[in-house]
Amino acid sequence: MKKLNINTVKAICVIIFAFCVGVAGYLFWEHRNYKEPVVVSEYITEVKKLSDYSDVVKGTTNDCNVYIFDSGVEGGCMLIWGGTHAEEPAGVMAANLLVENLKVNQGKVILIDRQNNSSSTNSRVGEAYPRFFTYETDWGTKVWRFGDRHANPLDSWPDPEVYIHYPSGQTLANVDIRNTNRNWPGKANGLLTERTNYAITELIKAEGVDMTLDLHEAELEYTVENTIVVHEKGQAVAAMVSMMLTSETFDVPIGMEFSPTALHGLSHREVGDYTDAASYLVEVAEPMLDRIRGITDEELLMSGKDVFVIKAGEHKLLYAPIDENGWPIDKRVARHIATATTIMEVNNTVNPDQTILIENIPTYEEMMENGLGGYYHDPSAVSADRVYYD
Amino acid sequence: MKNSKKLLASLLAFGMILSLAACGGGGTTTPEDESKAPENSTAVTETKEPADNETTGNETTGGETTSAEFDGKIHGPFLMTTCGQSTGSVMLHMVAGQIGATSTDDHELSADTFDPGDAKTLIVTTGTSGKGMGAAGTDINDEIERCTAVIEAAKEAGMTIVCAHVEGMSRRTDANDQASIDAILPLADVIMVVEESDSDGLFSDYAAENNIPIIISKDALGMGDYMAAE
Repeated sequence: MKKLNINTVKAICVIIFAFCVGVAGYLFWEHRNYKEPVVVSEYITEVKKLSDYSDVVKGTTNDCNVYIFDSGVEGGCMLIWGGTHAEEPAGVMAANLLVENLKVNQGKVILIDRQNNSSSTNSRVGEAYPRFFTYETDWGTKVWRFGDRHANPLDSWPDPEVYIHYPSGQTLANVDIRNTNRNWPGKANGLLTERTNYAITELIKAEGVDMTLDLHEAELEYTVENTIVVHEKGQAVAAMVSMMLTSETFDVPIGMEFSPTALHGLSHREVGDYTDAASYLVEVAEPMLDRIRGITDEELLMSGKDVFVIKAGEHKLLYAPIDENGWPIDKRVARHIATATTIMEVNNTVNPDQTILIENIPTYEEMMENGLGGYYHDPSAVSADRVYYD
Repeated sequence: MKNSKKLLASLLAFGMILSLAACGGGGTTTPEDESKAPENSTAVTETKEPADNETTGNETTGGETTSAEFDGKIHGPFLMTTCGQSTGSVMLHMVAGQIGATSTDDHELSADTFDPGDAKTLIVTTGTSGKGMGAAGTDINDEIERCTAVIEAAKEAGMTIVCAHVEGMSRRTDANDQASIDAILPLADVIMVVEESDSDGLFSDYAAENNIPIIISKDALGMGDYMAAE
C-alpha cells in the first residue's frame, strides 16, 4: 500500500479545517443577519426607530423599531416590550402578536419587540442553544432568532472589570453591563446597553408614558416566578390584576412582588423612579432555562417539557408547578398578553384619566384553544409598507 | 489517582445535589413541618373556650372572637399588615376597598406608634417575600417581633386578630414562610386562607384542633364575600 505523502496529508487537513470554518462561519453569519419580518396591524399609526428619541443608539444593532398605536383620543399611554433577554421567547412573541393585531380606540400603546436586539444575535457558549425558534402558521413557518441574556460582545466589548451601575453606584457582576435589565435608567455616554436604556427612558418621557411592562420568562428553580414585579406606583393595579387573573383566567396563579428599592438597574425599579410611569415586569415559567434540564433544543424551548424538570417538580424542588403537559409556548405567550390587557383594564378603573381601550387582541382562552398561528400574518400576502424587520 | 478522582467526582455530584436542593428551597411541607404550627397553641386554646357557648365578650377577654361569636364574616374598618413583606395585605386591602370598607394597609405598622383609630379588625398576612424584606431592610425575625408586638397591642385595644394566607403555595416554599405562619397562627382569633394555601390542610387542621373559626375562599378576590364594611 502506497504511503500518503506528507503534503497530501497537510492538504487534506487544511481542506477539512477550511470546510469547518466555512460552515461555522455561515451559521454564525446567518444567525447574526437574519431579519424577522413583522406584519404590522392595519391600525398602526406610526413606526419609529429608537434613535428618533435619542441619537445615542443611531447606527447600532439596538436601534430597534418602535411601533406606535395612537388612537388620537385622549387617554393613557402604555409601553410594552419583549426581548430584554433573547433566551426568553414568550416576551418577543407576545409583543410581536400585539404589533400584528392591535387596534387602540382610546389612548396610546407603544410596542418594542426586541428591546435588546444585540442579545438575539448572540448565543450562550457551551449550552447548545438553538439559533432560531419557529412557529407553524396557516401560511408557513414563522422564524425568530434565539439568543442570550446578554448583548453580543461583538457590539459591546470589553466588559469592565467591575460594573458600577449609573447613577446609583451599586456594583454588579461585570457581565451584567451587557444585560439591559441591569442598567436602567441608562447612560447617554455609556456602553451599548446603557445607551439603549437611556434612549428608551427618553422615549418614555417624550411620549408621556403612564405604564411600562417588561415581558420575561424564568426558570422554575427561581423564586420570582409566574409573578408581576411592580414599582410602588403600580401596586394597587398589580394586586387586582394578580387576583383577577388567578381567580378567573389562569390555571396556575400569577403572584405579585414588590420591586426592591435598593436593587438597582432593573426596569421595575428605575423606570418608576426616573420617569412618571408606573413600571411592571412579568415572569412566566420557561423550563429550558432550568439548569437541570436534559436535551436542549427547540422542542424543549417551545413545548416546555423536560423529564428532569418534571422529576424535580415531583420532588417539590421548584417554585412553579409542572406536569407532563409542561409549559408550552402558547400558554406562556397567552399569559403575557392576558396580563398586559388586564393591567390596562384595571388601570382604567384605578386611574380613569389614563384610560386605554383596545380591541382585536385574542383572549387567553382563545389563544389556548386556537394556538397562536392564526394571529401571525404572512409577510408575502400583504403590501410591502406593512412589513417591517426586527 | 483513579480513586481520588472518583472521590472528587462523588463529592462534586453530592455538592451539586445539595446546591440544587438549596436553590429549590423545598416547597414541601412535611408532616413534621405541619406539626410546628400547633406547637404554640396553648395561648390560643386559652382564648377559645366559650363556656356553654356563652359569649365571652370583648370586655372580659380582651377582644377574642370565639366560634360561637363568629358570624362568618370579619368586620371593618380594617387595619392590615404583612408578616414577611409579601403582597397579601395589599390584595386584601384592595378587596376591602371593593366592598366599600375602610382599610389601612401599613407594612411597617409598629406597636410603639400603634393607633387603631376606629378599626375593629387587624389582619396580618403570612408568607414572606425575600424581595419585599430586602426592600424594607428587614428579616423574618424582625418581622415576627414587629407583628407579634402589634398583635398584642391590638388585642389590648379590643380588636379581632385575623391570620391570613392568601397568596397560595408560592408563599409556602421555605423556612421563612413557615416561620411567619408559625408565629402568627397561634395569636389569631380567625384564620383566613385561600384554598390553595390550605391544599395540605395545614390551616384547616389547625383550626379544627384549636376550635378557631376559619374562612377558606377559592381565591383572594373571593375574600370580599367574607368581609363586611362594618
